[in-house]
Amino acid sequence: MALVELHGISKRYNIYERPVDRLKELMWRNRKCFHREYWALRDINLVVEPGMTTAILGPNGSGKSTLLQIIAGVLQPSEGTVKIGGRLTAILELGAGFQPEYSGRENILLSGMILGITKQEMLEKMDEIAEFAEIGEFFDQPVKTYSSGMVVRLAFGAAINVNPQILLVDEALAVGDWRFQQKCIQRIVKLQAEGKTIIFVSHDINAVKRYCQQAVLLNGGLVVCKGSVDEIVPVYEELMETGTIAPKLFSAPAPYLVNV
Amino acid sequence: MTVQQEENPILAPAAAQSSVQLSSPHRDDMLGMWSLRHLILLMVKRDLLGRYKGSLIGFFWTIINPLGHLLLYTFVFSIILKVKFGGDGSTGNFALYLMAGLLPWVALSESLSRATTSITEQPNLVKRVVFPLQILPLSVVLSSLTSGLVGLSVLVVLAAVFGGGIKATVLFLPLILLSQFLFMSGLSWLLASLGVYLHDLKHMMALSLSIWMYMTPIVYPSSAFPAKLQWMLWLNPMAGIVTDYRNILLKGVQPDWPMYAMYTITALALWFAGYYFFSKTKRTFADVV
Repeated sequence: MALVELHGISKRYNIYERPVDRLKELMWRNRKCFHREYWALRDINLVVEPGMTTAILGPNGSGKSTLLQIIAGVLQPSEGTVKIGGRLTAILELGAGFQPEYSGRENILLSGMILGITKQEMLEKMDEIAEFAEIGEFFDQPVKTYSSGMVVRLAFGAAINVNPQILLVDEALAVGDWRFQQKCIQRIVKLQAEGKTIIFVSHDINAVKRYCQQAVLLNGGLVVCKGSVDEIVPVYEELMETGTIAPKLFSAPAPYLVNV
Repeated sequence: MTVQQEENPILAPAAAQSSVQLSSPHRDDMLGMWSLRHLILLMVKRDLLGRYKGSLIGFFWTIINPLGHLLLYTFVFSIILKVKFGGDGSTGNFALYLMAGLLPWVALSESLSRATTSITEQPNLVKRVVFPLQILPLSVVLSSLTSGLVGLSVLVVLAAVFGGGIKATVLFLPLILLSQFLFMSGLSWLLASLGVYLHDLKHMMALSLSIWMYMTPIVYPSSAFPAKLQWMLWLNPMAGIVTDYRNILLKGVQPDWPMYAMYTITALALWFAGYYFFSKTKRTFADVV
């Protein structure tokens, strides 16, 4: 009864030297190859049970964000299947969907409606979000006038207050000053208590150890290992200190494996 | 409790076949657009308000711009080139007839140009957020049609004052508007999608639209078209649309029903084809944008 299931997920990018090479390939009807392949992800299998908080760890370039984008449905995998059971809220980049000309209030409405929340429900939650984000009177000013801190607080406030069933967060957990961070933490803990499923990418080992039950370690687009947080974090730490981090190779045949 | 129920209580069995289970809360098909109507309305409203925000005269630019063009074309075509339009062939008449054709045209050309870049100018909405992208070209179309409608209302008033009262055939307006909407939306989806892969497209738009405009009887009556080439008018849906706007708003004549059927069917076909093309290609936008 898993809420998120990934089977054999791979993502391949075709890298062309020049745009015209794409055309050349089309004209040769794919019999001649004018590209090199880059596999961002290879054969990822993951099962996330409801109510679990899972961390996706890995060095830079290991495919974490790509994986999250595929789970969110923003990117199509080259191979494999994704099954999601439940309303998914993805915070891939805080404030990415915001329209600079719209006010904070309008952007929250926009974000909510994108998530499929009715206008009515969104309007009811508006005050709660405004208070959480601590934007003050700027709430009705165009977002382009906001400082970057305000943008992230607003984005986070919106995402976290709309009752997600599955929450995906890409390296965006702790934003704002310490007091605001505490609010975020409390909210996440509340979500966990409510049995929500959370998947997040983080480099913050302490946060991972504190919130998560399960962790997945990626390197070079491959799953190195997965299991409970206590098992995986030491592997990650060792990888970061002494291990080999897979280089980003085009058409790299055999991906790097870490000696565990 | 059947085995199936135990295995998959959350997901419907059919859905499990698809490669990526929709995590979007919206249906991706056309009916889904109805559930997105609040979002669409918000974007259209914002678009209309945002166009002239911060400018001094604000919303009046929607009237001043076409009015300026109107005066210019009237001067060049009616006074200098002495093109004559239906009725008494006067310059005043020319201006009204021109406006009836120009306003729908501007709505089309504006929305097609904007639709072509509607996806490429919002990479965040493609890659960072799960967003119903089909809304973007649609809201551009609705925004342009709304301002076009404002202009047409002004035209009706002017025609009533100078052209001898409001004609009863004005009531046919929603029919023509609907056909134009379907035509514009279908094309917009097509162009928006192509615009992602073919960056040259946006550069081609200006010239193509210019050519198309002069191939449409806007600055001249359709009778001015050589008899042998009249078939070209049948192939150009905008020719029929513009002619019908003139008929119902100024001449008090019903739409040319065979022509109406022709362009409406074309519009419907384009609506479905454009949307279908967009939905199919939508999945790989994130790889290219």
